Amino acid sequence: MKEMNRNVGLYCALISGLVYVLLNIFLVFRLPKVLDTFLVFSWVFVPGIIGSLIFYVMDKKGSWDGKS
Amino acid sequence: MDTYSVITVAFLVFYLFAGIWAGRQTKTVEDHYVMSRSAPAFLITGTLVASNLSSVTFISFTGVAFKLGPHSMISMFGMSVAASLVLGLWLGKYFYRMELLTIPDFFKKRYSSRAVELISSLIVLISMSVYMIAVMLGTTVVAENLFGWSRSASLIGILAAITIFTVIGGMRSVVVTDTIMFVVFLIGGLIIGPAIIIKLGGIGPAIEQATASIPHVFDWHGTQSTFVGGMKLLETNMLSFVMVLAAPHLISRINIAKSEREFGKAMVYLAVALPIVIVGLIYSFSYLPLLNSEIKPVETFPWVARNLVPAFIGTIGLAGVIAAAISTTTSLFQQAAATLSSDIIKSFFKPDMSDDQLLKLSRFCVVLIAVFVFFGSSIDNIGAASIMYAFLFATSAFAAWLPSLYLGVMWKGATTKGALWSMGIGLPLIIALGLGKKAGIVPSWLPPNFFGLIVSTVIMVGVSLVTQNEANEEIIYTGDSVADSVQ
Repeated sequence: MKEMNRNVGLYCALISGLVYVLLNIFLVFRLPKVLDTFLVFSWVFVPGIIGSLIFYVMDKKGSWDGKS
Repeated sequence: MDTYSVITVAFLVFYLFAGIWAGRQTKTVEDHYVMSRSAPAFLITGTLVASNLSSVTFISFTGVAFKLGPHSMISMFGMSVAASLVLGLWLGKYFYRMELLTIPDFFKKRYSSRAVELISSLIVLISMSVYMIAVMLGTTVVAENLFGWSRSASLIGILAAITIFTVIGGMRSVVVTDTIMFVVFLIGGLIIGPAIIIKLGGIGPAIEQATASIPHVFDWHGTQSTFVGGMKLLETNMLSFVMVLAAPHLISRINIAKSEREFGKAMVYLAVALPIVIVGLIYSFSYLPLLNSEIKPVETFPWVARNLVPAFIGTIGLAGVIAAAISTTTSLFQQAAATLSSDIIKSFFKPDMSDDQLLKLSRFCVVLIAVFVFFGSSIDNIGAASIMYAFLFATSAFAAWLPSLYLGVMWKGATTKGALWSMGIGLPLIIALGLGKKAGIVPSWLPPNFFGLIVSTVIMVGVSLVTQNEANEEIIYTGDSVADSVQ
C-alpha cells in the first residue's frame, strides 16, 4: 500500500481537528453562551477525528482483508 | 426565463447527459444493482453525502434553523458521522462479505422465512416511496420559485430526468452523478449560508445583533421549551442513527465498494466532509431573522440564493437543491425498483426469471414507481413542517428492521421468529404513531422512530431468547474472529 494511502486516516484527523479548532476560536468562544454550541459542534466533529485515527491504526495493524 | 432559470436548465441538462454517459457500461444485473462492486472511496463518499443531503436539508432544515434555532438540526449530523464510522470501521464488512444485491437479500439469506423477506421488501417499498414524495415536495418549492412552473410541470420535468438515467444506468449512473452533485452543493452550501453572516457585517456584528434580538440561537433547545427541545434533539438524532444504519439507499453503498477497506476509507472521508458542509450551511440560517424575519421558513434558502449572493452563485445554490433532490431520489428509485423487481416479483412470482429479464423488469419498475411518486407528490399545501413530517415518517419505518439487521449480524441467537415478530409489530406501530401524530392523537413531541426502535428491539431480543434458530438460517458473525465469518 502506498505511504500516502496508509496515512490517509492521519491526514483526515488533522483536517477535521484543524477545522474544529478554528471554528471554536473564531466563532464558538465569542458567543455569549458558549457551552451549548461547543457541545453541539464537538458532537459533530470529534467522532470524525477519533474515527480517522482508528482507521489509521487499523491500516498500521493491517486489520483489513488484504484488498486495498 | 431569467438568468437563474437558464443556468439551472443548462446544469440539469448536463446532469442528465452525465448520468446517461456514466451508465453506458451498465449491461448486467450486477452492474445495475451494485456497480459490479467496483466503486472507490471518493465515489462512495460522494454518493452517500449526496443521498443523505436531499432537498429536505436545503429547504426544510434551513427553515427549521431559521425558525427554531440551529442546534437540533446540526447535532443530528454528529450521529450521522458516528453511525457511519461504526458501519465503515466495524459492522459493514459483514454485510460486504454476504455479496448482497439488495438489503432484503440480507433477510432472505440470514433468516429462512418468506414472511420476513416480504415484510423487509414492503418496508423498502413503503419507506422509499414516501421518502421520495417528501424529497419531491421540497424540490417543487425550488422549481416553482426558480422557473415559475406549476407543481405538475415541475414534477414531470424533474421526474422525467431522474427516470431516464436511472432506467439506463442503474447504480453506476446514480453514483457518478451523485458525486458531481456533492461537489456542486458543497460549493453552494459553503457560500450561500455564510453569505448571511457576511451581510450582517461579519461574525462579530452578527453575534452582537443576535444577542440583542434572537438570543435563542445560542440555546441548545432554541425557541422551544427544554422538554420539547430535548425530545426534538432525541428524535433528530434517532433519525440519523436509523437512517445511516438502516436506510436501504444508504447501507446499499456497502455493496458497491471495491473492498472493505475502501468502504471504511469512504466513511472517514464522509466524517471530514459532512460536518464542514452542515455547519457552513445550517448554522448561518439561524441568523437570517436579523435580515428578514417575514420569510416563510420553507423559502429561506431560495430567498438567500436570490438576494444575498451574486446571480451565478445563487443559481448554483438553487440548482444544487434540485441536484440534491435528484441525487437522493435516484438512489431511492434505484433501491425501490430493485426491491420491487428482484425481492418481490422475481422472488415470489417468477423465480426462474433470467438475468436479462430481471434487468428489463428493473427498468420497468423505475417507471412504475415514478408514476406513483408523481401522484403522491401532487399535494396542495406545502410547508417546511409537511416536508419534515413526511421525511420523519418515511425514515421511521427503518427503525422496524434495524434490530433484525444488526442483531442478525452480531448475535447467533437472533432467530427468524424474532425477526418476524419484531418487524411485524414494529412497522404497523410506527405507522400508527406517525399517523396519530399527524391527526393530533399522539403528542407532537413523541418521536415515533425512537419508540418504534425500542419496541422492535425488545421484541427481537425477547422472542429470539424463547425460540430456536431455523435449520437453514445463515449465521454471519460468530464473534470469534473475522476469519470465521460466512462467505
